[in-house]
Amino acid sequence: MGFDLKEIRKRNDFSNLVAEEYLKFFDFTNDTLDVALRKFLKQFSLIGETQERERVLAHFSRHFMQNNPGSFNSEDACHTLVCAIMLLNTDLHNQTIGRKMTCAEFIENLAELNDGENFSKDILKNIYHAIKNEAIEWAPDEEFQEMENRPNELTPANPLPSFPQSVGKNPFLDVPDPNQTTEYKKGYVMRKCCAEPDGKKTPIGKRGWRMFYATLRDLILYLHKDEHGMKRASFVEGSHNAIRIHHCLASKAADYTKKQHVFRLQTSDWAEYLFQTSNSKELQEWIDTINYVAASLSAPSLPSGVGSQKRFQRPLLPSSYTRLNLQDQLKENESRIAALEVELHDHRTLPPEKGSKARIIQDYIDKENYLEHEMKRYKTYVYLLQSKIASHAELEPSLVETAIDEEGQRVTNMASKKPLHRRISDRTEFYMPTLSTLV
Amino acid sequence: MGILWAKISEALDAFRNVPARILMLGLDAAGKTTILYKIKLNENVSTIPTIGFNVETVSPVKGLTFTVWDIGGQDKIRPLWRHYFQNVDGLIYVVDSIDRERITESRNELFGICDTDEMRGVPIVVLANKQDLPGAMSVSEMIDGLTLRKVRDRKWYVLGTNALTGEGIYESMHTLAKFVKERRKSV
Repeated sequence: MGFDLKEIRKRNDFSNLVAEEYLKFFDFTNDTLDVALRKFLKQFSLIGETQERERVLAHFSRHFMQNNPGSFNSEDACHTLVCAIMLLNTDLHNQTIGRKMTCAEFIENLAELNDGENFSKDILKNIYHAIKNEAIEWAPDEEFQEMENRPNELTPANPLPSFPQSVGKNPFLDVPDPNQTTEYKKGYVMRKCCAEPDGKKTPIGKRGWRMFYATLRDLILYLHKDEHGMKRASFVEGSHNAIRIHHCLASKAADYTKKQHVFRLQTSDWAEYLFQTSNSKELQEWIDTINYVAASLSAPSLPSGVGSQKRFQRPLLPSSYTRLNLQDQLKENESRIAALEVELHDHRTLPPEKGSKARIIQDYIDKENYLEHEMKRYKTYVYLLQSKIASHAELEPSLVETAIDEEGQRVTNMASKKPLHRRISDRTEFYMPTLSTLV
Repeated sequence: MGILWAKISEALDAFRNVPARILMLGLDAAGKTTILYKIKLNENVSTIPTIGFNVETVSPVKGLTFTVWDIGGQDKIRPLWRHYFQNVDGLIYVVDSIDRERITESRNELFGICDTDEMRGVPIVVLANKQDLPGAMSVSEMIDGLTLRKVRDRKWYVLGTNALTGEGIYESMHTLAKFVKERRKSV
């Protein structure tokens, strides 16, 4: 076919023309509406959002009325009935819908929609039973599917990928392919869960210490039973216990005295963990690495939700990668500190009145705790970013010197200079120009 | 005693699977379809898509199942959704945060639905989508644009989202689940 079928779904003059020409291939003369619709959908896979589908069906309706003048009161009435049939098909044949529409409900729902009059009851009854007995089928065109390139929409049964589909409590967030991520640190640790997301205390039975082989890859800390789990490259296995570390804060757990070399990890959704490491050097390395990765890769926070109920809400901390470079990331973090200072000041000058409702006072305390925590977190981030940038500044001129030096030296230098601040996809592009200047 | 009873009924609720009917609305290209496919259950289970309109189920919290209908489309077919307005539990309204030109159109669409009798008191969660793009309207700009402060007869909530990465979707579903539960208790 000489034109792009995708055009038909759009809303412009050209699309209208394309649709008109395309529908000329169909002859619906003397067909009932549901039969004509089946004919059409066998050839044309109706996908996309509801608005797009509806526009396509409007073209279909016009053509049907041209083939069968007078069958309904108007093109619009015909179009409404077509949409009602589509809706009925979904309602009756989609497995996820609980209660199905009855014939009486179908007729009632269409009351007065034939341009202010009722459709013929017999026609509606026949349509209802025809759809009920046999779902509308389609034969999606392969070429069309490829053109669509929306794998999720038409083929939900994608083969299982080799990496987890979700990490942590939130099932809707994307998980980057672990093989595309950078490994920052690994080693055996002991872990104890203290608080679930939103600071709810972990049930007693689940608070015990367990040993894990931890691997920090970008913003996800994978926890495997042992190092073999990691070697098998089975990230799915380790995802069950994996922790997202974007916007997190790791700090020495000085208040925890039962064990030595323990650090506390507070995540962006306010879950809390304790990790025991083997010695004080490991302890400091884990803390610094986690905080630095979080500081350099976490995307700027989105404003918190606002609702009709005036309650304190934490801002949304995205799990995606920041698009800022290290310098701008530092600036962004510094501006957060400035904003927090103002917020904290305002907050403290307006404490709730004495004798306020318990909920209001709790809200006030929650907010204060939150602001103080965020302040500590951003200050840590800024400190780490500053020192990284400072060390880069010294590194830069020496790079030029090593370029004249022997080759091996130079490569190791480059490798140590990790472009932390880039998205994964940008990473190769980042390396490219730097390397080409050396060659 | 009251607290104990509340705990027991909460525990029982977890076993029951309470279905809720949710409508999703928004202008075209706001991101509804992306969101719908993001939230669908059992991504790996092979289901044959049904011809018709977009509907998905999602379980945002234990014991509650949302059936989310994408009810876009022009005025002419709006009456067809009457059937689904009955016993509706919540509305998800999706707005394209960079489309400043059509914010008034979007407002009218929202109020066209909210002002119907069946939708009285039904909680709304507004997703200010495409927050990752430069020039996106902030949450407070969105509230002004949609004149939400005028809405006093129901609970509403606005959150910035990025449907492509799934950012904010979980939080908004959670809020809507809370609203649905609260409303059921009060009715």
